Amino acid sequence: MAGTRSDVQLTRRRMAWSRHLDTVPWWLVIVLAAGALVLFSMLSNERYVNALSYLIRGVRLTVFISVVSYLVALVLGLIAGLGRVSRNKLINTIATLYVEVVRGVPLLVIIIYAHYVVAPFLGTNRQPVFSGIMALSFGYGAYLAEVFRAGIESIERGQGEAARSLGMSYRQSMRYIILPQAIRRVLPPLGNDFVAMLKDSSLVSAIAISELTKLGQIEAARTFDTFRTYNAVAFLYLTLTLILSLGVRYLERISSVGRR
Amino acid sequence: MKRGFLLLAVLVCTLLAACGNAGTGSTATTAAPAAGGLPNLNGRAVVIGTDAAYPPFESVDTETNQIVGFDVDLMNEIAKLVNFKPEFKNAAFDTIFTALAAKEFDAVMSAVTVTDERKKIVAFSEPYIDVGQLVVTLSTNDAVTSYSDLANGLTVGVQTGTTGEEAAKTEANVPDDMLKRYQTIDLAFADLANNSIDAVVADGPTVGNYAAQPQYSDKIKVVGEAFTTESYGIAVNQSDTELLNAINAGLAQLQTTTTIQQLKEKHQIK
Repeated sequence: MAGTRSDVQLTRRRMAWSRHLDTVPWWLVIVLAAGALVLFSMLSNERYVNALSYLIRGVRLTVFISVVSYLVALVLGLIAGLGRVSRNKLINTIATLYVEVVRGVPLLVIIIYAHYVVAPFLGTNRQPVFSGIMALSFGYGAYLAEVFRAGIESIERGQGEAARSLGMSYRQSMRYIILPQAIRRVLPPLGNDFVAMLKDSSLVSAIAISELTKLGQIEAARTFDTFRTYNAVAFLYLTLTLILSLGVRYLERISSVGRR
Repeated sequence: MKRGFLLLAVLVCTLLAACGNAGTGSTATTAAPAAGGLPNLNGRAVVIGTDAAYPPFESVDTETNQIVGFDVDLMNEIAKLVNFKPEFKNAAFDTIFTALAAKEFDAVMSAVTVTDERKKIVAFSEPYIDVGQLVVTLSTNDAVTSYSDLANGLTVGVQTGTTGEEAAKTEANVPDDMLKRYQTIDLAFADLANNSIDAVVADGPTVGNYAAQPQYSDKIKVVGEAFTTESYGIAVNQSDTELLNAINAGLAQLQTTTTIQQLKEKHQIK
């Protein structure tokens, strides 16, 4: 009798324990452990310390360029996304043209074009960072437009119809009914594109902006140590993108509160 | 049946390997002195890395799409003397020495200044030409009269990993955040012509060549005299003494003739 009861308790405890284990984000534990290990071994090597202390200056510029470009791209993308679902022929055509043309041109080409063709025209050619942000946000705006369009189209037709039957205008039903739900649905791809943009910000090194990748090129060229330099560069990028991924996950969690 | 097949396969493999060994063994003769006391590389294929955006030393011809220039012509002359087959390959300059050390090429000939830093990872031939760093600015710029004026808050374009970058930093004392480092020098000149930067520092003959191009000649000008003295050499792998000796012998032979002088005149190098 007593034996069976403790067995039951044991099983229960084990089940609770395994349920507990299931909630641990194991990928994160592994990444953190490996990251700590790599960081420790780097910090005990003088050449890595030299590389890291030089490269770390580029991190701030990389983050600045990515964040500003992403915010502008979000606005551009939302406008173009709304344009893509608009029934107004003119707006729809302009939005579709923007998305299809920009999406079909490599980002590196857009960046070089922005700096060597558009910037002299605008008179901003003394600010290569501005050219970089302009190109990245313009390029990513097109990607984000498609994300927003997909989100809006994923909301059931009946929702819009119900809103309209309650007397809401198209604009009101978009603003209060459809967009709030659509944005919640597209948070994962939006976060995904932020991580992608952070990585693509390395392309602005082509116009001599001293961000992380450019500093890596300089460091590798003067030390001839490509291996260690790009290890350090990759390590810093990975740190940034992992922090970002965690942030996006957190955002997804708080936005899904009260959904069910 | 299956085992028999396997045995056959193994047999064929060993036979092929043996033949392969025999084949390479017979061709891999060491450089035997040819007529005239010069080494003979027996038509060895030599891949040469070069950053072909550096006229007049190397650039991609607008009509033939071949890499042409002083370096290419000189290498071909050397190759004729010591009998190897040069093949120029376009490469990024900032990683060109690590790529050479990793045996991506057999040699690097890319208007490369011989420096002690570079000697640590690659070997250099005897120098074949002397150049110096020159400053180029917009034609409308009257503020810069010498390289020492570059430190007065001007943005200076250089190519990553070049001696121009080094000279701008250490000789002209340009602060790090005022240096704009480009992957290729042509983009620096494009930015200068667009008034996006104030000056470019690069090897004299190349500066002269860009400043004389029709799309730049009325926009940019050369300022002052060369402010460094440097010598170009051909870089090879440190372990490849065969090629190094052959190139040095060929160069020495050419220096007894007027060939190098003629090539300089052909490419308008002073």
